[in-house]
Amino acid sequence: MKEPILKVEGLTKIYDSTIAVNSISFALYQGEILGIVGESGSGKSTLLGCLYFDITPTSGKAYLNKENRSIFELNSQEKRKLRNFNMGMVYQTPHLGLNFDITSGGNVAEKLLMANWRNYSDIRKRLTTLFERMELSLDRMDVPLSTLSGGMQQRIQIAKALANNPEVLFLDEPTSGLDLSVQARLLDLIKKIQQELKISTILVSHDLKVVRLLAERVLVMKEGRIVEAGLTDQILEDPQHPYTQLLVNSIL
Amino acid sequence: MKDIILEVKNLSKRFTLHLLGEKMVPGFHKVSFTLKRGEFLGVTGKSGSGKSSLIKCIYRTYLPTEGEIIYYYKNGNSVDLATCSDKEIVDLRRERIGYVSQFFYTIPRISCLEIVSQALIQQGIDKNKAERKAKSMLSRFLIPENLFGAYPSTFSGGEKQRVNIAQAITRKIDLLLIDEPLASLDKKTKDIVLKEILKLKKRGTSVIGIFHDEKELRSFADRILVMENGKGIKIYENHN
Repeated sequence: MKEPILKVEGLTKIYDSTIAVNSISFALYQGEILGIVGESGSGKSTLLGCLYFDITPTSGKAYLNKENRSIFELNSQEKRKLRNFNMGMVYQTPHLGLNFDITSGGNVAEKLLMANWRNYSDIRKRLTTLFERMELSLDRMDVPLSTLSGGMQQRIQIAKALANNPEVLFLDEPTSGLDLSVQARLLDLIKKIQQELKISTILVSHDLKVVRLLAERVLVMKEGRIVEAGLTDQILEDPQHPYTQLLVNSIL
Repeated sequence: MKDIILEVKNLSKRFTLHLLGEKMVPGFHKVSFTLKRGEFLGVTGKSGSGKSSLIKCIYRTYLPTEGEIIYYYKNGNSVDLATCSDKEIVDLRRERIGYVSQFFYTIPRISCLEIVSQALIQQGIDKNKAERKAKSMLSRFLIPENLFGAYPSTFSGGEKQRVNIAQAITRKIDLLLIDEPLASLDKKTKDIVLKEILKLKKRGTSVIGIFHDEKELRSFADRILVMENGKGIKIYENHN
């Protein structure tokens, strides 16, 4: 692993009286998948939301690509540009990340349009590549999104996230709520694409088994803080923090 | 230090079980040894003597409680595997250190050919060449060609173990840590696997291998470390 592509320092998000994310610092290295685990309510999704500009953090900094200005200090136009050109996000459920009033292909094309793709045939070509990549049949491209299964909709989300060749990919529980076989297929797909394209990825999951498959390093979050950080096999086989020991001993 | 790859000094491991009222479980205590480049160190002893914990600490699957594990790069630089950053360990694992566990953890929907070739691709070898090398190793390990595209979760215990070893030794590494590689193999496949491991050693890879059979170890190890109750009770040169 070379340099960090993303450095987060003291990221904090406070809602009224709750501290959702409490002074989180970490680095994401070029080409790695970094796992973030913890139970619901631990602040994992809020953390990703801040980095993808869905949520405005209360304080803290994040540096992308050795830029010396934190991404949170950018103006809204610069933020939009970063989000459209450099980042991809896959939300926990298709409803959060996709527009159900348009076709499945239209959803992916939307991301391309935002990244200034203008030529119709180029967009069609890119869609075809992405659909093939995601093992989605091409005749699903022009049908309403709502006619697709949950697993397919999740693959549309991934296709959308990858459409602009992002440098950083955020995955928020990308496989929860799916059948085991669909889940395995999706995980395998994510792994292959990540290895091929070497996209630096943050994977948020409450499922340690999912993280074990994909991530080499992992952060464990509890009540907004990182309680332990380590190599994935070390976290699973020799957890240090009482909370991590509880988590590991709760794996079915 | 040019001929030394690893220096383990007073290494200890204890586990603290927070869920059981801070219960302490001993792993092993104050183990020291050095490992030369291209040397085969056999580790033997009864089950529960701390053998697996020792190599898991070297691979950093376990965090050592105290002591040092100095790893020497070929250019003379060194790093303490007990305390260096996770990032450094990730890099070493990708490039230089391989580990074969006692149990094979299969990945859903990944064929055995992919498992072996991915390790090579990660080192920067192109896909075609990686697949060629992987196929040749799997064939040498007597995995039938019609199983190359199959998922190992359905394989027999012995087949799984051979895929597991193949994935670790097909790529070029400087240090191989291997835990009971011959268990659950028959005589014929045992000899084949051992031959491939020794080939790797001949090309300069240092090996730390756990074998419960000390007599077996004497037919190929350069030195043998005997463990008992979490202590290295003796280490001796093996002159076959």
